[in-house]
Amino acid sequence: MNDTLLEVRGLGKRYAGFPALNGVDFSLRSGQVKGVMGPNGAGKSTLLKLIAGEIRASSGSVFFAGHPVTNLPVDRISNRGVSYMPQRPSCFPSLTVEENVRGAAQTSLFLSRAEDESIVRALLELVGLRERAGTTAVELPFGDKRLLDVAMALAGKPRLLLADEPTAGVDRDASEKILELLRKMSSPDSRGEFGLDGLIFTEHDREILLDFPDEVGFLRAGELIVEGSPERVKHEGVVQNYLADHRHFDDRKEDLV
Amino acid sequence: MKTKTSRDVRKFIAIMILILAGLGVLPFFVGRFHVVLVTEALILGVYALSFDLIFGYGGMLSFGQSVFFGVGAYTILYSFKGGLGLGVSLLLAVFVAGIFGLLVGSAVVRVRGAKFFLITLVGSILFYLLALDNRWLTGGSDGMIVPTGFSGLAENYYLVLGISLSVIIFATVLVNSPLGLVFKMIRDNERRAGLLGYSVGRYKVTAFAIGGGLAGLAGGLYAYTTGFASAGFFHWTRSADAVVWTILGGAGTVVGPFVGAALLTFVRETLSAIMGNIYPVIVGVLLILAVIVFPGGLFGLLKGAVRNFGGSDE
Repeated sequence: MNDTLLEVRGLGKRYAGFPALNGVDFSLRSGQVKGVMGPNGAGKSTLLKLIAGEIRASSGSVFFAGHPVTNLPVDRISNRGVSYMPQRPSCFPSLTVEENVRGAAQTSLFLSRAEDESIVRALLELVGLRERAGTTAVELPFGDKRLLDVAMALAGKPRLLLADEPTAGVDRDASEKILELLRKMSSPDSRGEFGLDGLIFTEHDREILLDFPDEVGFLRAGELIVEGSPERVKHEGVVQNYLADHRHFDDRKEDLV
Repeated sequence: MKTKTSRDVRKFIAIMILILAGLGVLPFFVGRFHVVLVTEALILGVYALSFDLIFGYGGMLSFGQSVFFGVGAYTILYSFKGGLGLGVSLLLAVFVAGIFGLLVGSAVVRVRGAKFFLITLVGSILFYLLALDNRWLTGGSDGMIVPTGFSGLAENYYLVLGISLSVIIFATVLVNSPLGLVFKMIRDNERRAGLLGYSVGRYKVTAFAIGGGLAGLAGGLYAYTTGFASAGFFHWTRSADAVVWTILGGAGTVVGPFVGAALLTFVRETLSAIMGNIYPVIVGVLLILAVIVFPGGLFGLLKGAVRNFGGSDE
């Protein structure tokens, strides 16, 4: 399969005249994983939100599976098979883990369908939260909340997943679990029931970024200035500078912990 | 935190059956005054529950519930004037108020937070003024007689009891259905509900239509029982009543609004006979307690008591 799953043309967003994203072009082939990196405020989240329809584009267009989806309501884009997992944990705090996933998975408004129930069970198993099914979401530790987010994002069996910093703020254990899941869901041999046709994620961790995706894009000040295989991208001057700075920052963070 | 166990559910059902049995034989043991009082409490319980579907489940603090109550009352009035029977008239009240819920909901669901509260309050005041001014239609503040052909206090009591029970069963099924889950999701996190593919606005309008229809049923029953409807039915303080009863009884529960409505109806009727104007003070104190000391409402307190009664399961 070599067809285009997602195509973004000249996508731009201005906030009160200030460009948050400026004429971004790229495409994602079916089966591809793309990582997006860049400094804070470079427009990484803005890019994902624009594709998901959460904010309206000021210019440009988005095509998903050959159809224009630019500025469609967020629920309609979701129902076409584009799932967006927000940057911070975003579950339904007063509901149980099981209800959170069921709400994301259910396909009928009036009956609880047996297929939906089995999807919920499979997802809880997949992310390792089956033991926690009856826990109220607000009481989950941070890492588990993030795993719950992943389960909910996969529940509608999307073709494309947009994950905004899926491992940010998460401890090493949960972080490895989340990456393992994303890798599994997007690898053609082992993806199974909740397999993805495409994955775009933003990330700060250089090891993850330069290892996992097929392609990496580097955003700075709202522009996509470098794009290509991880091998190629990491030898670009701007990226090396950024990574050097960032590693310094990471080291400092380790010291604080 | 302990999750709900089947034993808690059984205890709860046993208590509900006891309460129902008590309500079932009530007219044989108490006087006319108390039969009327319990009838009123039940109707107002249905009204409070109709608001709770919008607020406790849908997450929208609306001050417009009295609009649907008034619409239901006047639908019954004109339906009886047109010679229709009680059953058809009540269904009409639900339907017409439900349509109002749909229209009002469509107009307000895009607004959020404090603005939502204000716009529903202003809308409720507007409806009241319209009802007050159009005396030809509503009889203004003097109101109009509802030609009910009322059959008797006990019969009416059983009618109201039966309808209240049906409404409780309907609401329980609704809030535990997939649709009810979507309401709760929107209440908890509107943004994620939209990201998961739910058209948030449409579900909010649905909650308004259902809540409006049930408030219309309560208004219709109230007009039928009292044989009277006036512009006062639309007054925004009647919306505030629903808010107070629901928060006090326990928002986001089916039984809570009944507990709140019943308690305050009794307090009002009993105390006003003894010491006049102390009722607002008591309501104020209870509300402050409800918000600060028992945020789950009275029903939450009762549930805790039931759970501990006869030993816990742990």
